[in-house]
Amino acid sequence: MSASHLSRRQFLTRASLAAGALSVGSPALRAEPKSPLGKAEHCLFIWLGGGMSQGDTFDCKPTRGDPGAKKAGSYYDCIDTAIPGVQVCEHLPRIAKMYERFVPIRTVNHNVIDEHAAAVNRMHTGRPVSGSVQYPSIGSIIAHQRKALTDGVPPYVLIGYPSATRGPGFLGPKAGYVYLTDTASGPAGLSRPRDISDERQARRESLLSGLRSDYLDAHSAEPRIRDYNDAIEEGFHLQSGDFMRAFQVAEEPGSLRESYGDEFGQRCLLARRLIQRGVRFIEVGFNLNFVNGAGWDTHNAAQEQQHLLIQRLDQGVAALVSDLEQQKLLDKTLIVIATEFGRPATFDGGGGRGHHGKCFSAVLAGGGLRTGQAVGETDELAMNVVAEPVGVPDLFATILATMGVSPAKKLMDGERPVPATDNGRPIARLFV
Amino acid sequence: MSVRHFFAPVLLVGLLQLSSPGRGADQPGPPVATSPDSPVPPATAAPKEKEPEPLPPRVIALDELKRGEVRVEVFEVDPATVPKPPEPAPTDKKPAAPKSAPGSWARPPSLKTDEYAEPAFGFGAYVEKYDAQGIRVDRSEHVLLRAAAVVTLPKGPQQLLVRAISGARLAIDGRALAKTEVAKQKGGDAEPVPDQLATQLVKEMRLLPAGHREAMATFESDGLPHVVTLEVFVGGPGLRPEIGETSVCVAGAGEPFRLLTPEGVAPGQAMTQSGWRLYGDAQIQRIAALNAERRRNPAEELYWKTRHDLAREHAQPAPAIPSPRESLAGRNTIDRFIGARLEKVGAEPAPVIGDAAFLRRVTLDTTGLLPTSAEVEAFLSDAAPDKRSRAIDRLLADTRWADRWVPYWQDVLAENPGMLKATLANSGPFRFWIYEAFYDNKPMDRFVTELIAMQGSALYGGTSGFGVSSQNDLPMAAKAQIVSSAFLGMEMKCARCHDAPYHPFNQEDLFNIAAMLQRQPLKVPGTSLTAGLSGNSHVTVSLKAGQEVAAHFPFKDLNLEPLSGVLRKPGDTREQLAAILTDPRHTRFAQVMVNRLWKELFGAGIVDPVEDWENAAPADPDLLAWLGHEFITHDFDLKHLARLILNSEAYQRGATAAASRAQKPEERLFAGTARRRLSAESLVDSLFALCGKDFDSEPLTMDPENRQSSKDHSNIGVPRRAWQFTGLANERDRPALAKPHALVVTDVLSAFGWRESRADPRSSRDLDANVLQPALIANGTLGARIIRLDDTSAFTELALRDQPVEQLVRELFLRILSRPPTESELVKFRGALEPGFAERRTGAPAQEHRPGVTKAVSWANHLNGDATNVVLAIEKEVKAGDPPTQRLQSDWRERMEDVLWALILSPEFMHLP
Repeated sequence: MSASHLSRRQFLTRASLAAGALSVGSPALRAEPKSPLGKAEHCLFIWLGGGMSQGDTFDCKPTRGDPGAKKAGSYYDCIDTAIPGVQVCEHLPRIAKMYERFVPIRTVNHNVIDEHAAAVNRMHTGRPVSGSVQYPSIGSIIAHQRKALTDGVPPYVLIGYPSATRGPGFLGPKAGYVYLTDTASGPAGLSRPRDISDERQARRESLLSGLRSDYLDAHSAEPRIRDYNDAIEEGFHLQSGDFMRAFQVAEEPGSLRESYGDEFGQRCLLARRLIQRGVRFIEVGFNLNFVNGAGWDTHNAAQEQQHLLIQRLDQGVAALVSDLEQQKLLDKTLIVIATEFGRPATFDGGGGRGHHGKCFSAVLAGGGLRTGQAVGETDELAMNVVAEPVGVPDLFATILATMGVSPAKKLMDGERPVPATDNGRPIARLFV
Repeated sequence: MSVRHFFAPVLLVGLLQLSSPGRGADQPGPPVATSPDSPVPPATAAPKEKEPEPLPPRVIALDELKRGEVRVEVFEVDPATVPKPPEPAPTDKKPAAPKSAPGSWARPPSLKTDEYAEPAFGFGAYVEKYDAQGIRVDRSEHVLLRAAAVVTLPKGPQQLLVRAISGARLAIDGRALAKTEVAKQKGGDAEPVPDQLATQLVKEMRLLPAGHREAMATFESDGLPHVVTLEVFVGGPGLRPEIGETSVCVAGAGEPFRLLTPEGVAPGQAMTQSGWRLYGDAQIQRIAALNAERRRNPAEELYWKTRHDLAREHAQPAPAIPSPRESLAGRNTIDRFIGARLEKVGAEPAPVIGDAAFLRRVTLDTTGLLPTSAEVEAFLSDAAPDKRSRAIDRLLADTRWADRWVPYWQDVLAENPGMLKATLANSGPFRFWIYEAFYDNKPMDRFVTELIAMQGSALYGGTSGFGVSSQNDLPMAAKAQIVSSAFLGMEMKCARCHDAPYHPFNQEDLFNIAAMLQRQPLKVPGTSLTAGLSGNSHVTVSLKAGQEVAAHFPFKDLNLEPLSGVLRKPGDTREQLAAILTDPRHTRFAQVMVNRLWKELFGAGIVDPVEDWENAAPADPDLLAWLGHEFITHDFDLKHLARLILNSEAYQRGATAAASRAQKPEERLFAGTARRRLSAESLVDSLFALCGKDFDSEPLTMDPENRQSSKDHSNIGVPRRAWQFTGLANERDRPALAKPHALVVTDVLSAFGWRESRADPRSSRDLDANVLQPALIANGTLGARIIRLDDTSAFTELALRDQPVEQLVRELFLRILSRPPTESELVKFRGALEPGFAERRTGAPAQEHRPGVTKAVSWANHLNGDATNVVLAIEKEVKAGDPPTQRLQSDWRERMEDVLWALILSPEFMHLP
């Protein structure tokens, strides 16, 4: 990060403090409380689709459960972590060892548990579904506010399946994502198909060039034609440019690739490579549903193989954090482990777990935050908030603030101003 | 139907006696022999627990049927035969499905409600049911279709194969031959993933679709005419009323299975991938026409004629038509208004575009598709001075007018169906009503009235679906906002939560309209109000939580007491609202509508933005007034207005940089048109029409088997035009729920401005260029499919055609760019195709392409780990692309593909002339 960039950021921070000072006693601005703002440059949003069981992972409690006896409790043993007095489940040993770089937030809560899609929407937009506003996702808000770090790079990359919920909503297509489901080939359309040789590509471009230049000559004053023509050119540059090299993960040393583990880990490694090329926000979907069929939605028998998911998460995330740290990127990169809701400590008839929204975990790491502290206190089954509840707007405010975006920032839906969060307040003690 | 009951026992005996000698000992026995509810002698079970005996198929006499067609009868449950539940209160919500038993052959639906004819025993669709206004309504929970025809099969053993998604029963002369199991709702989500190829009885046939069952029988044909009947259950308790791909196929020894056809009709389509597709596409067209007949209602048309007579009588006078100088007078009245303005400011109009460009532009504007090369050739060689007008008339009579307009109104009316447990501000799929309204060219005042009535089927295409808004504390407030912006050009979005700061609307105004839609006063929920506002905020919340807002129309200058004879249910505030909006004595609605049409055809509105008139001045108030007057006095007929505009010189002028950049009203002179890019839907439809390929989309449902609750799972269908797609609803990020084929298309649609979720209304799309647009055409799977010469591509057929290479190049330019190549283009493209041209054909035969992955993933098994692997394998197959034809030398084929690549990527292809 350049010095001038830093000072500009500090200026912005000071400016907002000044505005806060002015507003003392002025109720007009009370809706925009002064927020601590962080300095993270990137956000890596790891999505555990299906609803991660907090009691079986990051909010492990000593009470062991037993599906056979219908006894509520954790499915695994708990282990100590680098944060004194804070435990995680036994299948997260690597993360446990470096837990001082993390912030487990154990009291996230909302009331949407009947339907995954609605809960996924809540945990991507931070808002209830509205019939008149299509809210942008957190990735789109950050893409819109912070843009890409480098020219010619998409600000927001989604590694997972596309959906409107992850999209830009009223912010429009420029705040949208580029997505991929296959780490090797990258986003659809941005790389030349493998069976097209250089010779064929040259032939194609030669045939096209006449068509392009004739038409452009006849319509040179029309911005729409020029823009489309430029977009063709940009596409050609992108194919051979540095951005697409991100997808050649094989360039990385074999030992590093191995340390990341399987497909999920490789996605994390790819995300690191995208960060290095200037991508601002990356959602990494953890959807290895072939492992147990249901992924993190561990109803019934899906529970039995849950430890395999947790182990893969442990390996991928631990490798990512170490790698980012080595590359001096950890302080600039906020990692968020998020999910649509949690799961109860009780068991369903098939030995698995249902949905639970009123208390579940999200985990932050890096991002220049004061890590090494846990947020929120829960009861002995990790099912109820005891102290320090963190509503979804507060979680979103924390993420945005870490990224230097004010949680009260007015985004424009046409002429209608919509605050970036629904009155969310960042968790102040995480900011230096 | 009592006749059937009377004869039943007698026929039962006949059936038993007749059915045994027909089967050889080692032939596969028709399932009827082992089916639990077949007419076997009664066991000794207690009589009260015994399944009722099935009614045998009805015997239909040969002379009852018209030869050469399949008669299809639709039966629904006769309300007289079911015990009446207490009368439900009238409500917009679909009543909860009563708990009743799946379809039973003992009590099949017996009330005949429709009849039509088909050319073969193949049913990928069947006719819809409509109310008096021509809006789709739901049939009874159980429906039985009975198809019957006189069939003559060659002498000797004939194998008959039934496929159906629910219970079907095949009979010849009343003798049951084969039967499939009746579907019932079963649920499930982690079952084994079935291999359809392993399941299907005849491996060479089209892959058995998910959830379908088969039954085979052998018929010893005596070579004489017989009556074949197929009865099939459609839907059932908690199931969607879907017919799936129901068919009867026939094959003699060693022959391929073909759709069974009636006597006097050529043998049916071979039941292959492509055979069924051809049959299905044609059937969709037939059913669309049959549906249109069913919507026709002279009484309803008379009512609208009366209203339109009233409109002519009460319309405000038209503005005087100006007389610009001769050279600016153009072709019709529209031009005189525009000419007068040009004269006044001393501007010159852009030249009129050439014939080829005109035909391309007008065909895209009316059908959403390109003209064919034959149409371009014919148009270019036509010397008649009125050929443009005739082309306009031909195109306005084309039913594809409906395909062109559906996407527009999907955006404007926020049509947003969800296919899975709809919770994301989803509406019902009222796209089908929009389609039919434009198919019928319903007058636009009728369009508004039917929409606002919110009647008919909520889940399957009536306007009740417009009234649905999942997860919304006040759906009618959202709908009021849509209606106001769509038809009045009043953007009341802000008024949802507080008084609009930049508009003359109060919050109460919006809630008044919402209450009219609700048909009762509305209590304001607290969640609808902006909280925590301060004294000097620029927005005001004037309503209080719990306050009751009355159902009346809030805008005095538009609020006229409806003309006598207009209201048919005077107490109904929805009808009142529609009558007020479309009242012929004010001009607002008419002008908003003609302005919407104008913007679509010119690329700029007379008033812009078209949905928000409060802060926008019209570029030409007189022209707008005259157009509105034409609309009111010509039956609110959009095609009448379109005909006027398309025939104007103004429409036929070239796109200019100035018109493309014009922002302010005074800059919008319409001296030329604004440059327009093909819409997402037009682009995708045109590309697929060019190569003649199918989208190959999965059915847009997570439950292709039709066994999950119809409450949670809808089926938007298999798209044939781009507007028929919908968001693929994989919020869950589950690979097993992905639709790899459909995603290829929706990726491109999204890049070009289509919205996978239309939670809020939009009147114009983001049309800015982005890098993904050309990239997806150049390198993406869709682009690769368009240019790949495989054995289903129309370009392959063209390449094989015996013609000089120059003719091939000319044909390619005509098809893709709607014009002949220039001399230098001809030289360049001939240069690419000439080497090896003479030897391009290999003589190899065409090959039928079958999907490599034959397992069927559905909701019922998507949580089985195997389902994830199956879908990932399909993704791989889709990415690998269509297998190239072996009929062309590969080196030449690749060069031809490169030529296609360049043509479809050109900026000229992407933009309207």
